[in-house]
Amino acid sequence: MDFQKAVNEIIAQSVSSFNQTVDADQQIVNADSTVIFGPGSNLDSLGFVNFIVTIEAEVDTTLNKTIFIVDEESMEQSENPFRTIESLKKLLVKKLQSH
Amino acid sequence: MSKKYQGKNVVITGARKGIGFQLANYFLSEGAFVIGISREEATISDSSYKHYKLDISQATEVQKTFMAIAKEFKKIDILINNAAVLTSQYSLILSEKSARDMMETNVLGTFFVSKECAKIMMKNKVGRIINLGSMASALEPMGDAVYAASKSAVITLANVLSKEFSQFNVTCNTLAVTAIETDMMNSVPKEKLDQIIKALPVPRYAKIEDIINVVDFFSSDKSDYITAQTIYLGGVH
Repeated sequence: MDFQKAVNEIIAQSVSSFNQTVDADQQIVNADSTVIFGPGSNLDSLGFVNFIVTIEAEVDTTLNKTIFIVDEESMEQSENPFRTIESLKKLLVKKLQSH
Repeated sequence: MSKKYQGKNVVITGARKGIGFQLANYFLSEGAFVIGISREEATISDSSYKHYKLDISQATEVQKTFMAIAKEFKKIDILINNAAVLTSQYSLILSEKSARDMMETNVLGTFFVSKECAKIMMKNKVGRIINLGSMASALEPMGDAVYAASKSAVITLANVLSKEFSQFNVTCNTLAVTAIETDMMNSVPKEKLDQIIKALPVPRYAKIEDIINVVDFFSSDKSDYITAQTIYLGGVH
């Protein structure tokens, strides 16, 4: 299975779903460079959590796989996998490949 | 005349027996659709009841179950975190397994279920989470060190979750019950319970009506300004 393609579609759908639930100033752009965690992000901590939860649900709906995006493994990586859409995509592909 | 919970979906953990069983039947009688959860098979047969066999202390299983619930029911209005285990035993002879079982089911199980349920509630921007606590967390009786600690943790969980979930109009409260005659109470010596009950400001055992009264209050649409609160029955504090 082409997980990269699947992840791209999951993120696109998740961004769209997420943006429908928040005010305009908290919406995010579906671009690899979009910062989703830390300085420069439109998301506050709860917004970030909501976005992650939206992605988990989308993974389940699209691929019928139940994953925890934030776990010990992802927290222990040397580079923060949650910094941008691109780094999050890499994490998701890795998780799905090992699922 | 429409019933009190017509159109509402209610999740109850530990719905097979005891307080959970009685609350499930109450919500059914008031028009709700009840989603029951327990480790064993259902004891309720009703067209408005669906049972999930689940060990709530297993996070991944809880997540999978609630993904399935979300797909089938789309919304959850009320969650009653009732499932709990109790071993009443002096600390010096309480087994590790019993201690772990209480912490894993009563604390972590409540947390895992609340977390997954809140993901569904947040989409609908409304929800009521009601934890069933215990008089043990206030009275701190001998023999209940771990159980009382686990029930104090349940109160703290509700209070912290209330802050995280308030932006989605999800309230989190705790009803701390006094002793009510259920199977769970069989593990506590009757004379010990009688002694505790006798010392309460209202010296009697709780009735299911006492519990329903507070559950109704926390569940009410009008209670959207009531969160992070603990109500003890029988004058316990």
